[in-house]
Amino acid sequence: MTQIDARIRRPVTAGMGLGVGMDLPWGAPVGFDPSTNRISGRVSRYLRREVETFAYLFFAFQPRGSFALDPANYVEAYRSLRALLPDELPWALHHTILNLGSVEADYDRAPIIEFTNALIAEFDFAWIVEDIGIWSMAGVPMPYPQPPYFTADALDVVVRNVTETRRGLDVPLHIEFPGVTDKVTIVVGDLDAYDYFRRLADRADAWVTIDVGHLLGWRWLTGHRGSGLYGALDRLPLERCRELHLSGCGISRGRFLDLHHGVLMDEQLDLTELLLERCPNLVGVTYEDPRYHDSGLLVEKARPNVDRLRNLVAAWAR
Amino acid sequence: MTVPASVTALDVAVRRLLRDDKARDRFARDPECLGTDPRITSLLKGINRSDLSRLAGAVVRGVANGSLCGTDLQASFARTLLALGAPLEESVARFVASREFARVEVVGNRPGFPASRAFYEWALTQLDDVTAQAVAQQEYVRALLAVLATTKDPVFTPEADGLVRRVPHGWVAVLDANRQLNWGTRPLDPIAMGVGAGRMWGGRLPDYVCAALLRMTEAPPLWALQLVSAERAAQIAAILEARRML
Repeated sequence: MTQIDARIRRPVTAGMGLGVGMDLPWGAPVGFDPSTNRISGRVSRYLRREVETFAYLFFAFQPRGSFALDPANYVEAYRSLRALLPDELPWALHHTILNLGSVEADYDRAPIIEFTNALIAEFDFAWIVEDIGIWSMAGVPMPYPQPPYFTADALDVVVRNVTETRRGLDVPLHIEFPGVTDKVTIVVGDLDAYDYFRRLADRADAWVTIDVGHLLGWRWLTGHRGSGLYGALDRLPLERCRELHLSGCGISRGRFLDLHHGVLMDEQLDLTELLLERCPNLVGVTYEDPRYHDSGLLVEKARPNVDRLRNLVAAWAR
Repeated sequence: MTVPASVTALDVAVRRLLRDDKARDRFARDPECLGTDPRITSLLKGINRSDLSRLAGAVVRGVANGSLCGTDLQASFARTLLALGAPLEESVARFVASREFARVEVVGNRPGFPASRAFYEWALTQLDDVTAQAVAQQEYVRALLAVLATTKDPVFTPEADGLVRRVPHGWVAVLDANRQLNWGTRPLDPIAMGVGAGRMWGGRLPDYVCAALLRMTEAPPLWALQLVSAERAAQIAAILEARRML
């Protein structure tokens, strides 16, 4: 693990604090504007209001339509985002096409790694993170990243995917616990996701990111309720955990939904409190996909639990 | 990278169940129908069927509205979809299950194959009417040019099927209003479309203007060379350039 740490270009120390993560598709109000090749006005207004309150930022890579995977097609827009951030603020890239959970033999990550390293060289991203999932299948993206096949032989393939990708990238790779949001995912295989994830992280010797909503989603799916949602944490690779993610979740008609709508559930905060105590190598907690008005002001519904999260993380980071 | 055959077989079977609604229905009645070994069949039987159907529906909707493959089929192929004579989701579900869809490649790490081309090729297998085939071709070329109007450096090769050709400052295509046209064939009722100065244009043009356009491409068809002299073509090109069509 120390070997990986030595490769961090911008030193990241334990207890950075609360970060913000944003998915920024091209052409969306919260995203990059393809006509100007810049970050959208709404995101600019949000960051001008809030960025000083965050210790780091990540944003999710989204392919720019039919453009070739060439850094030149992205650099100008990413510079416009970087220009909104304080000089010293670390940032990271959430990938979406490493496709680490895929078992396709011919999925070629070499051009993606080369592209990513070029972006790292240009923008000094401190780490790369991606959910362990099947993001695309035979050349076509999935509506939501699918969990990997939870079988022992498919795990062997994913261990190789992660190991090779981790070695190829110029900064650490954080692998994220997969999401299993109801309605748009299918679960294939008989291994428990917690056990799968620990075996994967240990065998690939990788840092991990734990999305708190993804943990709750898995426990919910496997029939746990109440305090059972917070159980079995010792089966997770907590000592490898560098980052927690919290995005808006909800429960509707008996289903747990990973909505990314900015409103955090009490259960997410309760579980975060437990994880903060148990992740000795944690460097940050990310509030992911905040929902805000065109003015950049956070929506009212999100504020109480975002404030609670801020307090929790501030106490931990002290 | 070598992947165990059992893992590939599982992946292929899951993909088939996701993309092919008929295979999904057959599997619901007879889990052995996919011919997978008992271990894989057992894993497939463990998938929640309503989740599988919902996800398959999301794939079809995402392909139809362009959120997954980048081409809004509903908007780009409106007349073709009408000619197919079935509700949108039914037609797109059949497309998603087709061998043409299996060629779509839009992630960016490999040479691309746009969904518009796959859909056009699939539609040709479904449409008997010559005019409907011509309309499908026009809608396909228009969809391709719409991408080229905003994307200098696409992940796919636009010239791959010979319909869209590069000119010094843009792209052109010459089609026939009433029949599907192959590269090299002279249109009886020509339609030209193109991209110049980042804008799309298109419409019926006289055949000598279409010939002049094609003379600007790397390997013009014989009929264009025979119809318009190089000198005349250059004069026409100057006029088109002045109108920012090239």
